[in-house]
Amino acid sequence: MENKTIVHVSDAKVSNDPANVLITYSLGSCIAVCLYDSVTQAGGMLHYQLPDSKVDPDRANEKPFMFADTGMQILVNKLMSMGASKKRMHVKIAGGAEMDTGPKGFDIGKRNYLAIRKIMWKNGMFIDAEDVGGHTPRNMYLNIGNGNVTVRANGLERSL
Amino acid sequence: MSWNILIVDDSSLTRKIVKRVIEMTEMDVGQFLDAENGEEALKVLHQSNVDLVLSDLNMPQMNGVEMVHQMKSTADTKSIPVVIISTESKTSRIRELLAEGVKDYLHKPFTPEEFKELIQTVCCGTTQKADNLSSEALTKALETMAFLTVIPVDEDMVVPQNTVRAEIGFSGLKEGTIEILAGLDFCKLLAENIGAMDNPDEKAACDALKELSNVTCGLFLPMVVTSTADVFDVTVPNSDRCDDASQWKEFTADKNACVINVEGHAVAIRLTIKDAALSDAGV
Repeated sequence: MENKTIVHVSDAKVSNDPANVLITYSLGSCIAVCLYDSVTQAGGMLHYQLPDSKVDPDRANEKPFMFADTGMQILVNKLMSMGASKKRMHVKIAGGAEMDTGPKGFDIGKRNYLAIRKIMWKNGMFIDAEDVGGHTPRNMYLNIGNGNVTVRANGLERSL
Repeated sequence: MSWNILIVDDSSLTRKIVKRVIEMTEMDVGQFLDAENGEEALKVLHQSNVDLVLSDLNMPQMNGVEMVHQMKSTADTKSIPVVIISTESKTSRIRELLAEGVKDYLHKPFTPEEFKELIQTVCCGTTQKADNLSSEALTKALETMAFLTVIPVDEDMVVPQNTVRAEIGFSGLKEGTIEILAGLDFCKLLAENIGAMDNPDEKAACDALKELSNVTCGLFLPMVVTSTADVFDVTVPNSDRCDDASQWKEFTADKNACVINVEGHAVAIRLTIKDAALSDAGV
């Protein structure tokens, strides 16, 4: 039986239970990052809202998963403590859309995307697949059993 | 093989970036060499053993175009692959360079992922992708003819102590070999399942692995060609035996070998492939 774990906004979850599926809903300008190491079958998902914790360090202390930098650091460390290796981790990302509902002119989606690119580059990791930009909300699923990642948008599902 | 790579760019930052991405790809690098312009690069090429040149075009003293001209007209350096990394966007110039024997071209700025893809295409041909396809073909063959499932690799799987190796060769648009290495016990299980036989002997076990390599090859070849008109010649599969763990160790130490877990048994596959057209040209 599959058991679902919901990753909320400004939240992250890790798992090495093969029956687990990590799910995040309604990604707009936010970005969800899936990390997965097939050897240890350990995976994690982060759903962050903003690119940089420097804008509000107090908030970052309280809610580190709100920001790309603080969130990724915790997620990567957590997975490594579970035996996963950075070199083996597959990185897949989705989100970063420009939503009509959000504040105009801030390009949050794009800045969120560039933030994760920078973090990956600094960590020496490649992004293996991405579904970013556009104007539609997305849902993202990470199957811990096999590492498969799927993205659902506009009622259509595609694997990343 | 480990690659000695020469990075030619007048910007030390660009040289650093290129080096970092190559390190991220886990490519087997012997030595990194660098040069600030074409003239310096030619000196390095004559002094050291270089397997790949990654070069900018616009540089002081001697630019990349002149460097490529000189490399291609010198016997010692003409067969060294060159990849251009530049902001140059004039298609006619790029086409000219490609015609002159430059392997590939990457436009600046590039993402690390684009660079990784380029490096894999240049250095491994289609091997990276074909490797996955060969294990995919093996998985399909095991499921269809032997009713066995491939599960994620884990520490509990049985690593064989005495092994059977089956090999099959193919030639045509591409040529190469597919080798499968498995434990004798696994091959007996294979014979039991494929031939619906009880207590198969060693010969039947070897035959079963040969048949598996044959079917894997048959499933693999259509995956690597674009047209069904591409016909391949396939050899009769061979097999040999080894009574200790040495063959397994040696085989799986090769980075082209891939180990899969077939219901708890470790099975290895190795694909050696090259483009026939390239080998004809002596590249």
